Amino acid sequence: MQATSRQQGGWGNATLHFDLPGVQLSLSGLHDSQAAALRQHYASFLTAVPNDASQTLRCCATRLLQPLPFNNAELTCHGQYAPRSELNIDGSAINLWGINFAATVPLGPAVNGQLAVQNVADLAQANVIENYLRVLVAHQALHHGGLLLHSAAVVADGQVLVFVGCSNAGKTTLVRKAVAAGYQVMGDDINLLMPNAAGDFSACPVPFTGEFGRHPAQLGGNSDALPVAGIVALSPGQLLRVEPLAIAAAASRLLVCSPFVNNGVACGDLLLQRVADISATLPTLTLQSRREDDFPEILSALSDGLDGFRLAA
Amino acid sequence: MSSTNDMHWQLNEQLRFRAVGEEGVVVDQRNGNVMVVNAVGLHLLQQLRDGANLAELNASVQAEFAVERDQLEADVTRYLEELHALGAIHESVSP
Repeated sequence: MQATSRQQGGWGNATLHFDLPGVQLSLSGLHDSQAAALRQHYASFLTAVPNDASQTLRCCATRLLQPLPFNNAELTCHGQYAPRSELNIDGSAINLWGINFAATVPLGPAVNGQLAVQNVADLAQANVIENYLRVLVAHQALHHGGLLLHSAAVVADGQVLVFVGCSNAGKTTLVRKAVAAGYQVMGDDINLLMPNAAGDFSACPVPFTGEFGRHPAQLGGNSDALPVAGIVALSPGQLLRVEPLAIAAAASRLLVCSPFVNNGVACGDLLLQRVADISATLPTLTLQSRREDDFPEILSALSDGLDGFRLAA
Repeated sequence: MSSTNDMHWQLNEQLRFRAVGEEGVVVDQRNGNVMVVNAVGLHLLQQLRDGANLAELNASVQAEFAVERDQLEADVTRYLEELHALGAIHESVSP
């Protein structure tokens, strides 16, 4: 099934260049109102011209002329909204369907992507553009040595602690506690790990938010990539308890928390390699905590398992 | 599931696994299920991928790990039954 076979024509002549970690995207065919809305939401992730035109992926905003092949109830997984995706027939792009949009996400510069919506205002809605960008970044990161993770990322002492967990694992609660204690947040729902020059991994800001939303304490833009001190897997419990996680168990937790690339779209071997690399490189712990535990207490418990990690905000 | 010594199995093509440390991580791409298997489980998956039959599986585990033969054969058979129940392997006429 082709996601964008029923679309034609762009909305206008505006083009925006997204500069996201691991991928640059030129989004053309935009109506001026769409471009203005996107500039407002993604200002720190836009650039005047692509840094490397030959490696820039291209996508055209188009009109969706016919209804989607799925109703909204079919776009859920485990009770949560989940756009449908499938690898296209030659493996060059991802076909994507979500609420109010159909899209083709290019996997390389040889393919032109499309993002089709029925109404002009739909494109800049978070459930459309953000889902498109999430899928794009997830696949590009995987192919460039990184991984997009369902996680909350908190900055302490110039390093990032990445708390992984799927929906309802406690990420937003943890972020609220961190902000209340004066810590900066990189992301409350989705974060990107990319390899760095030191042979380690850095957390890179991405323009994706969850329930917590954008907040003044949240970092933005490509310049703020920070080294990752460790991965913390959130587990339910009635005590404040931290335990080391065996490397294979750590890899399995990362796999479960790797959205868009762990759902059978032919990424299996590469994804396994990536989670093995990350779990072999970064210390990984499990954390159980209680509602009454504040963030400094949690950090104090974590610091014993993270060599050289300090507690300063 | 029948299990004679010359029986072969094929791994489901949607099953992916990899050694991570001394264990293995397995992902079933049909449903996103993930599991961690110990060193023996990983070894058996590798042997199954290479087309080993039951007798060869038993022999290879005995050669690699210090286990009693009777216990080994029971454990290997039970592991194959678990994989079969998960749809991770299916019986094959020949390698």
